[in-house]
Amino acid sequence: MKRKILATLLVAAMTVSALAGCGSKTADSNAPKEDSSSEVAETPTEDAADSEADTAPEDNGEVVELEFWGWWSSEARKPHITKMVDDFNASQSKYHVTYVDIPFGDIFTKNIAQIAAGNPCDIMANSLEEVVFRAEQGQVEPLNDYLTDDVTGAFYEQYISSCTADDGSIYALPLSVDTRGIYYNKAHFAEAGINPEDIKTWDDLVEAARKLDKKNGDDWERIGFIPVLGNGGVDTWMVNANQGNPAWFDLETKEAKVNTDVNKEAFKWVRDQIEYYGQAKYDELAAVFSSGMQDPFASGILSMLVHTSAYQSSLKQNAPDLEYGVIPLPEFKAGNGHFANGGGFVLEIPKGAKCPEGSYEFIKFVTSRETQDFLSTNIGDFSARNDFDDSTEFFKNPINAELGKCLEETCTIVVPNELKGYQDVVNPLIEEGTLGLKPTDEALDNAQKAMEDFIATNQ
Amino acid sequence: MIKKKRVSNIILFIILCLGAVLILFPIAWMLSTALKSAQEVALYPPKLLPEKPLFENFAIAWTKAPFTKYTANTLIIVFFTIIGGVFSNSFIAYGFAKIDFKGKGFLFSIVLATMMIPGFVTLVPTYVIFSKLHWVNTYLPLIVPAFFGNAFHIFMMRQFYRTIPNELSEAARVDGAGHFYIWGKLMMPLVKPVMATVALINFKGAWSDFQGPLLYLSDKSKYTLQLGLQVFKGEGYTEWNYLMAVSFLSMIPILLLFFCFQNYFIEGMNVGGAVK
Amino acid sequence: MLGKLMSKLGLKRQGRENVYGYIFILPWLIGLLAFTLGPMLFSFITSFSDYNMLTFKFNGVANYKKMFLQDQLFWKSFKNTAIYAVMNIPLVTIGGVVVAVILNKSIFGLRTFRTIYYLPSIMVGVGTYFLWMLLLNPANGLVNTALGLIGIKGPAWLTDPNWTKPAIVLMHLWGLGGQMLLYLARLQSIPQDYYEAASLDGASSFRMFRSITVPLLSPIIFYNLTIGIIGAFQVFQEGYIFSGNGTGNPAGSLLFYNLHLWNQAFKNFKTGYANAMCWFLFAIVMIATLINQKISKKWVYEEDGSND
Repeated sequence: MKRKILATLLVAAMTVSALAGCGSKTADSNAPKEDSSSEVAETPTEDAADSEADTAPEDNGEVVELEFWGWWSSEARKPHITKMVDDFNASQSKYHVTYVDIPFGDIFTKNIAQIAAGNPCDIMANSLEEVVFRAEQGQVEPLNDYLTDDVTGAFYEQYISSCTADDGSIYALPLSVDTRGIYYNKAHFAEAGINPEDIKTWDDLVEAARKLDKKNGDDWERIGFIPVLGNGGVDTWMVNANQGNPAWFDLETKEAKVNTDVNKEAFKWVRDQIEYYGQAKYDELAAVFSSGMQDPFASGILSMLVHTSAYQSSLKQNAPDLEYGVIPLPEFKAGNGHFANGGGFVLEIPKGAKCPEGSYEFIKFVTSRETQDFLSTNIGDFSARNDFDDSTEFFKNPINAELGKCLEETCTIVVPNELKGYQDVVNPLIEEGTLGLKPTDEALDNAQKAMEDFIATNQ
Repeated sequence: MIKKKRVSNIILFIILCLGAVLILFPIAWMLSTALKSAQEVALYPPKLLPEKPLFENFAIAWTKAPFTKYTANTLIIVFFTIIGGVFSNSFIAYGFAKIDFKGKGFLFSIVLATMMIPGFVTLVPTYVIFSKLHWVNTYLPLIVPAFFGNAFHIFMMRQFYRTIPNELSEAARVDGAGHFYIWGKLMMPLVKPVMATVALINFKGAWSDFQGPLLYLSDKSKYTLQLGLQVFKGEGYTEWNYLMAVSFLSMIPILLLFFCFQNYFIEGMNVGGAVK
Repeated sequence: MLGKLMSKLGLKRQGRENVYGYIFILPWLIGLLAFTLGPMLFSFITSFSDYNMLTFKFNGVANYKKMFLQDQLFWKSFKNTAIYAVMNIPLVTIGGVVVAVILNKSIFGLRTFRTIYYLPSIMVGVGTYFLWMLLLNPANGLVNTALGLIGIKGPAWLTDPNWTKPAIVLMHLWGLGGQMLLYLARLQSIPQDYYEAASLDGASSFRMFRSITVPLLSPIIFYNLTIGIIGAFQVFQEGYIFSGNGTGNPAGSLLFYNLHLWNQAFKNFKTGYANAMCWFLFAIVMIATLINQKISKKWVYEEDGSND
């Protein structure tokens, strides 16, 4: 009996160590030199430099395995990403890329853990807004050694500069960018006799919304417009009112400017739109959106909704017969400009990646005009390339063409590293105003104070 | 007097019935949602039962992600957690219950003290250590600690060992038997019930663990069921009927175990309460 | 084999027992050092540094200073957790005791009732949280639909910051069967003659509840209070799953202590700061345990020799 139990324990222990073996083996199997991993953990920078020299693929016919991390996992998107990867693999014989999808909420955590442990994935998708921060934190490799002018010159200046850190190096290339417009239900507009081109200012928007509203007794049967549903947030409207500048801080002086007169007026307007329909109605719609149970715009309950170009694929799925159009965000005041806040995604090479040349080859392939057209057409985001014009498949879609005009007045706001993380402090306080827990002016005052404190203690 | 008692019993019975309805309704809601079509899920006001129960939802939902694989992954973790928990705890507890050694009292008070330390206190540093060991994205951080005992289970098992008369082990000692022999040959059969309880608690814990796998597993092919459930909550649109279908399926093993081994579950709870 | 070796070494009986004892508890000792004391020491040291898993720089008490004086979210998360604890612990405890007392009477269908009331506490896992998100949907969730039937317009549970914590308490009340069972087990060990004697003396059932049941349950109640406070500082999944993305929204009302700690450690990689938060958590738990033991000495009825 004793032997038996000990034997069982032993077997268990051995199996565990075998598991450990498998585990680290799969994790390490990509690493070209077995023993490098422990060093990497201690001195990632140095080792990264080493491995560059050591592991440059020689033309000995051996294929280098590369791992590409992104978060596209839905049936609508993942197949296109996989197709793109397959195309890359077929286009050359040196590298073989595998796509791994990780939920968006976890991908950076997991990636940093990998970097810390010294064996990161080889190519990583990331938000445009995060590049400079990640570069400063030493989490990504610079691309300067590989970049050529024809590559960098092919992108709009604005997006390349978002990828450039304070040290002047470029740390990523833009994969896709987006902007926001207002989707409208064509049938509702026709019925209410509204010409979409007449909606030029915020006031016009409210006026149109009133024509679209339908009430049945106490309940709303149809809702013209609520600014903070869909992909629009308070930020969207504040950036619009601030003519494309950051709404809560000054980019030059890096000082808080939350409770400005413009913000007070604009924020009150946002809150008024919610209050008009009642907090309860808003809560209900917000819950419907956040629970993902249904889409009130697709089902004709909402007549207008702020969203990005990618929303089209969702509409195609949920309401294939819906007739809709897109207008740019209206101007806060006539002549103010139709500004929208936009974002984007980039591809980068995590710090310590084993074969940066290979990673770069892949990035170059993905950001080429041809692949970009394929991606944009199928996934719905815009390309940051400046040679992307009417000849592309993507712009043959009238909605994209319409949104493309919005892109010209779209600003990507990169939070300076000194202010990084201010949203955690400011957003909940702003939300108190949005949700009507505090008057909007008071919410802005509180947020101003919180932001000042944040800046003071962060220095 | 007796009549009064009967009346009060009837009132209590009604209260209990109401409570039971409140408790069972959410569970029924889960099942009925699982059988609804997407349109029915979004219906306002909601319908209690689907027009036509869509039993195929279970099959469809199960293939929305590699749930069979996720179940297998979960079972690997569960299996080793149980093996580790049962053997290590019964082994350690034997030492604390049946062997007189120097410093035992002090060390046992440490066991009791560590029972109170919440997992989050050591979460961050343990993560750093595991990541430096390259254990992140393997099952090891979720399995290995089980092989080194758990304060609560050690306590539970020790209490049980102490109900076994010492004469038994002492007689064996006199006959020249070593402690390994006594533990393996004499005690193991006797402590089977409490081992079963520990096994059940470990099963429940490892099966339903969310935070551990969330932190340590990144590769989707290594996901557990609990992590896998998140696939339904992605990119804006949630398929609630499928989410509820898989959620329900994921609970079946524990429900089955509970109904088969109800007494062991309850035993475990009672010993827990006896700590004080 | 080991025995022979030890007799060769000339160990006496007690000496052998010492060796055996330590062999048996060795796994625990290793575990204690590797998974508890070691990490705690490590986290103590790094809590005085600017550490992000890649670079390490001592910065004195800066993390603690930031925690107490500068990090607005630290106090917000602390407050959220405390508010939740104050709502959750009494309600679940009282609920558990009341249900246990009722289920300790001889009523038709008792066994079935016990199983039903215990059922939610074995329905564990992420699925339960998703189920409650569905139940609490303000428009067509079961909870508000039921409230609507009795003429109450239910709140927007998970989107209204004032109602997010009550929503969690509601979910925990549903699952109070686990605690109920503890009380029930204890109640069943109370000899029936206590009640009979009291009832012969003409005591009312409320009086019996107050003078017999509650004192006899008090050790367990106090144990559960301690566990409850520690448990409140363990709340994580509720905030993580209900806020959808771990931000603790709406308006930061679901940002619990552990969620803030998690975000600092694994989202922002301020590992040093997170470790300072770990140590503060440890201090809270220790204080809660000590206070509880002090108070319980005064209040708690202890049966002779009931322990050990």
